[in-house]
Amino acid sequence: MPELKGSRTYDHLLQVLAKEAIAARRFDFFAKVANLEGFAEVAELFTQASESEVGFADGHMDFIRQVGDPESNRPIGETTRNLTAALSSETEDAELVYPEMERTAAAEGFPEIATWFHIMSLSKARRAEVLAAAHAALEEQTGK
Amino acid sequence: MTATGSESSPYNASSIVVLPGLEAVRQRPALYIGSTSSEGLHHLVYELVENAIDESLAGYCNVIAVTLFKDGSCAVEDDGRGIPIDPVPDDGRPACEVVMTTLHAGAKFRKEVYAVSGGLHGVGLSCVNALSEKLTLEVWRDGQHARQRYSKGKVISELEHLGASDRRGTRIHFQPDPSIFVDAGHLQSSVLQQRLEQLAFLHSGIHIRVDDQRAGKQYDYNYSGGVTAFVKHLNRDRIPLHNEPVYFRHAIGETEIEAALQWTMAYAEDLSSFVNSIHTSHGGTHVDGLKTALTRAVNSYAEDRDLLNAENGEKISGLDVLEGLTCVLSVRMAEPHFGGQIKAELTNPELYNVVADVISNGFAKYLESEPKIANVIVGKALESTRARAAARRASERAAYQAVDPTASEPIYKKQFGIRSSNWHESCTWLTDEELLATHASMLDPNEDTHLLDVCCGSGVVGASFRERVGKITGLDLTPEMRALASTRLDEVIAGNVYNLPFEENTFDAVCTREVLHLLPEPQRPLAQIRRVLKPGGTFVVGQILPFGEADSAWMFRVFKKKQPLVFNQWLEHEYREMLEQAGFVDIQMKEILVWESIDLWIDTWETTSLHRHEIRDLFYNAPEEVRAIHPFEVLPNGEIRDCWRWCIYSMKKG
Repeated sequence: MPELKGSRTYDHLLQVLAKEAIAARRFDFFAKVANLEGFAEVAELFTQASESEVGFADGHMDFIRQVGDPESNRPIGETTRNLTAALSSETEDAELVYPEMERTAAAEGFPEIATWFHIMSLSKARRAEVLAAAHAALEEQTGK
Repeated sequence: MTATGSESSPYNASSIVVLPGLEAVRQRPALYIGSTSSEGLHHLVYELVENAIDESLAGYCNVIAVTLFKDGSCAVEDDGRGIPIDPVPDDGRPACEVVMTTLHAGAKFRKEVYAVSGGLHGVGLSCVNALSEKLTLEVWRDGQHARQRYSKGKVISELEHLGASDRRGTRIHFQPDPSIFVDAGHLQSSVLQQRLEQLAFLHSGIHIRVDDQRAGKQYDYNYSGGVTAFVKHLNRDRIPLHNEPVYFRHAIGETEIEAALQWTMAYAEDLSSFVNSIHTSHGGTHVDGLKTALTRAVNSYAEDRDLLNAENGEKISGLDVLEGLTCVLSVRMAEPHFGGQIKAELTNPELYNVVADVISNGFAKYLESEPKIANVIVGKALESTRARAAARRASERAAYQAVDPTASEPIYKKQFGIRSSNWHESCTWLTDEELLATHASMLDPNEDTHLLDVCCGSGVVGASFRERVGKITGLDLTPEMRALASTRLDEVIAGNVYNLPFEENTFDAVCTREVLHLLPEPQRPLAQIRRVLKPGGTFVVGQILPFGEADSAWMFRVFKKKQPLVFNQWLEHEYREMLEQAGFVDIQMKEILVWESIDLWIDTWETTSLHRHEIRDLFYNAPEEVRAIHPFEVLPNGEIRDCWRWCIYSMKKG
């Protein structure tokens, strides 16, 4: 069997994971609006679509997780590994991704989006702290 | 109201169906009354009152009296037929004992006795009994007066016959079990009043009395005029766009639909819906049917008269039709089904079409027959459609123009100009005395102090220093606000905070509050403020800040949805650092918590209908991490009260 890691198919899986995850959020939003406008049946349709998209995304994850974490590329599986992977991507978001985006937003003249990215980097940093503490506690507990 | 119940369907011991097990209620009370919080506690009273209302619907009860005692107990008394006290066939116990101590023992499971039943599917009485530390039942019936006592759902005295009486009715006096309602607090008179008032409107003619012995106050609810009167009552502080509410009533088989609608100058909608007098606070199929019908009727009216801009495919959305609408929708039906987390949503699918058809036909006819009112209603909806489109364009433009902060000046002017008409009513913090006093306490002025109130709004902050300073100058962009402020301050000048129209070193003190988050590049106005302050002068500034990292993203979303011109948000230490970087020294801070009703705060021009709903959802579904540090409460009537962390800083020009 050929190697999935590094294949175009693996890239495609990553692409459609993002796509379906986005679709789930979009359809949730569409459902909310339909509900507010009184179109309960359309809302139900969107809600069901959103639930399906989540299932599809999970299906993509079933393959992707054999290779590793789609965000950090680290191996995932059991909880200590998952914590490490989560910690790694949250830290990267907090320290690199969002600060860079904040600077760009400010430079392009979107002050409120710059503020939002700034808030996100703070929130991510806090999340990373929580994850790091959980990771340390788990290592202690499992005697590693 | 006259008692007109038919004697053909007898209500006696043989119409009670017995099902076992009350211990289950004590073990999992939330399953039966929704929760063991404040909401569940109040539910006990509603159960009893709704039982009495069922008696009134059946035609046997006129007066319901609710008494709140100083010891936290409550009594509900009615003048209905009285719960049967004769022995149940094959059981031997008095019927009332069976009703009080057996789950699902109620006549409501036999459809012929009550056509449309309001209480919790008949489990009401026994649930209240199961969750009461002590409960005394008194019955006047068939010329008898009888009494029985219970505790935690169990009988503690045999049915006592207290002699002859020509009264009829039932009185239940209960003390909620504190071991069940651990965190529920006490029964709140105001919450009960609101619900009982609803019930009195929905049941024209019935008399509901509340005797609050704790506060020494009595209330009396007795209304005629039904849902129409209810809508007028809800709109008592709003300015209606048409004098008489639109009213519909229609019966199809066992289903009866009644609605009253009145549009007002308000922005938020106020939609109260009921099914068999149960408040469906989360709406459901009946409300969806109503929304669809109104949208359909308004659009087709506008289309027929070429009011819509066909070229760009203009359509009035449901949200636009609902803007400013106050509506009471009351449905009576057999076998309603309730869904959702707190069972506050009607789920019967057939009701969608039934309500949609009734309202759609009725409303279309109404619009035809009342062209003047139709123009007002449809015109308002169209206006809000266009305002929303314009707001979208403006926010796109604002985001683009934010490179030059002063470019949003016309948007601020429009926004605060519109809000000036009811500025002090738009939220309570504006005039909160403790908050104003805290600002005032941060300055140590003398009689020569010349104070500048920047972005002064109505001037209340500046005016809070009134007794202790020499002269107060206000500055604001908006003519309407300047007019308001000029009644409080010595002079009010038109100007922009990015370029203060004053010489350097002019003022001994400057104050402002809740402004910097609205200004892109806040360092620039801060530099301006520092410039016009005399050396050693004081700057006092108040700002609502998040409690920490965990609520900051959530809070930004709430504030940004409330009003689109929010550009900044800081953590407390970031705010302080910004002040330091602007060249201020000796920074002091006082923190106070101010509770604000969200419903009032979001009922404004700049908050779109979608955003209003999203803000409520943000509170209802706030993540646990947010709840852990940011206090807010959702009252039993659905009102959201948020707790705002005000940080008030004073500092010197270094």
